[in-house]
Amino acid sequence: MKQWPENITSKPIAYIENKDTYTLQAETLISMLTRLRGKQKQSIIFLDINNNESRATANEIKTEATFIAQYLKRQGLEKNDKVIIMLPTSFDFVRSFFGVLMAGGVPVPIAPPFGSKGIENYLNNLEHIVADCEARFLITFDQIKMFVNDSIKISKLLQEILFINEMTKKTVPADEFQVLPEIKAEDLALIQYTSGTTGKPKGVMLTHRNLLHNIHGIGVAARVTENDIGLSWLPLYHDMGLIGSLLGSLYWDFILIAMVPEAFLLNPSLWLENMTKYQVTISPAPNFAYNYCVSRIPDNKLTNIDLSNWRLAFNAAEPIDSKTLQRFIEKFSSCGLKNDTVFFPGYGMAENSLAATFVPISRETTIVQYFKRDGIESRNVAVAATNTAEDNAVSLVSVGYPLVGQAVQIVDEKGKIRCEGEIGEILVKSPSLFIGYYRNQEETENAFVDGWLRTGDLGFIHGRMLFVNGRRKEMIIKQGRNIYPYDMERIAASVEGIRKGCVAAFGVQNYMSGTEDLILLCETPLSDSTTKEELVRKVRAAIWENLRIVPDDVNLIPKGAIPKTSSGKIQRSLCRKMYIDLNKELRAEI
Amino acid sequence: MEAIAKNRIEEDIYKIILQLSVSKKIKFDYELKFIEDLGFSSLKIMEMVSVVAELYGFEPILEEIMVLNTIGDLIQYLEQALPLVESEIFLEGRKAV
Repeated sequence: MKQWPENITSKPIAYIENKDTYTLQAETLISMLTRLRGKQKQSIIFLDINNNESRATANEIKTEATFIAQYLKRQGLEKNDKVIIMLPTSFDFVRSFFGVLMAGGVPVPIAPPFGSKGIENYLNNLEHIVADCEARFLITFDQIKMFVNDSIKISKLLQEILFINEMTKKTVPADEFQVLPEIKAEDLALIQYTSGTTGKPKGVMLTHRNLLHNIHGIGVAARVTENDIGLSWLPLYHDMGLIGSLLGSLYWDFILIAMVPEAFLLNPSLWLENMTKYQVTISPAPNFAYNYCVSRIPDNKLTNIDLSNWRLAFNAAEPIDSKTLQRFIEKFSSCGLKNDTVFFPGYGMAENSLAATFVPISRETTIVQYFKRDGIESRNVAVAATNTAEDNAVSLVSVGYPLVGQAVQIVDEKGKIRCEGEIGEILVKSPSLFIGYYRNQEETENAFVDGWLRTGDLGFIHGRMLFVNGRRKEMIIKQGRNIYPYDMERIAASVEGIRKGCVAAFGVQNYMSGTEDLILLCETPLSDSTTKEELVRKVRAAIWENLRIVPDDVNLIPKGAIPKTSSGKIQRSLCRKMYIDLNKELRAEI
Repeated sequence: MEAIAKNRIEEDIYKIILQLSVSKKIKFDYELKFIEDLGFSSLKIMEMVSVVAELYGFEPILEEIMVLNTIGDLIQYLEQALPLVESEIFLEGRKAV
């Protein structure tokens, strides 16, 4: 069995392209569903919070989506109108998503609120998205009626808030059906909201062709077949959950078990027990989830788990830690987990639909390679360490090579292509690339250079494989979400009592949780401990209000304590080191 | 489910929060909010509830968890959800019998 696609080309320059030929199996997401319609097999098995099953065939999805489409048409929905979908993982989400598409609308999925916690800030963010994408309708569920109905501003921006249970009760009679618009490959199919450098989320516009190209590429790389069985607890408003899992399973026509994320978070063993029950072969999760299983699943539950069918554990959305993978394998090897080849690390971003690269599926081991630390950290060059035990070697997990039709190159700060082994910014070019940020020409122009997407990530190519080893913008990735330090620093500095321009935000890898902790160092002239406690609360509240994320740790430090360059720039890496050193002592005392 | 001493809950909750929190300098207070004051994300709140549920052997109900905003809310929720005895001393005495 070949390890590489035949047409991977590689040059001494840092450029890799996958030129394998491919043919998409559908032109649009609608035709993808229609293609499956004649088949009566179960397409999706939904599991609710109590792990109760409900099943849906592609036929049922199409039929129910038609009713939603007709309902929306009756309400006046026109081609390209944006419809926000705020629903949990459920059949309701799926029929609404396809219903909006069939009616010619553009779905904009967003997370439902997390109970009543920070509801005001949630609504502020929602208001921004509703206004930014010029949404005409919002589809949601009864339980949050009181939250959205209370928001007069949101109600004013929308034509109507639609409740899914009412929509399904008031279906349009078949004799009143309107002609649904023709949907083309280049039509908008999705707007994904992602965090931006200005603090306000930006709408990533993706067409049917973008999405299908990406889904096709992932399936080819993963050698997906109809015989696979997928399981995902990733939320459907998240690209890995929606594109990678839901749409991927329908495109490749394999059964998907869709768990609600809360079920996994409350009881992580349920993920693996369901994999056992349904003999799952493919299941994705970000790095932190593997760590979570190691720390939260007690050994006495291992006897209920059989992972021998699991052939692909997609691992993306946040930096992949080889130690996490090793711990997971050690813990679950007695449950039939094959070996580390089950892990399928990848690299991607919302602007490229989802994925840009994945590791080769047939290989002897996870692609962990060791590099000399001084080269990586000081000289911007990746030099392979002669042996794995070499002192100070840095271990990195490769994210593989581009998916079909995609290319990756590494450039220096001036945009000049680098050579293999040299570290620089990763650029991606592919038919999966978004068509721009909605109503944001400036950010769209900044995102591209000569048709290549500037990812802002640092990496290098070694042995025809891509390695990611940092982020140019010092972006922090927490549980799959991108956060820009500048945003947090600006907001923290706006709080009275914090010195302007004297805040440092950075991420610190937490090996216990498998994700990054968000840390803030803020200079203050205040010394009274009660006032300082109040100040920490205010900083947290301000960041929560603006970014809907809270720093894990806010440290107030005296004037002049933040290291800066001679030109006055904050030295975040030094701040990080300072924090880690201080924290080691503190943790040692506990 | 075994009866739990009321004063044990507070102690256990503080320990769990300290274990999950990045900052180890927490001045505990019933009014502390999980998100704004402790810096917990929604995922971390779920993890905390999961640890608590495993410790006391009960199955949390999602709708009830979603409205817990402060340490005080969580303690009050547990006091209602769990079979309680007044104090650890009483519990030890009962065990001795």
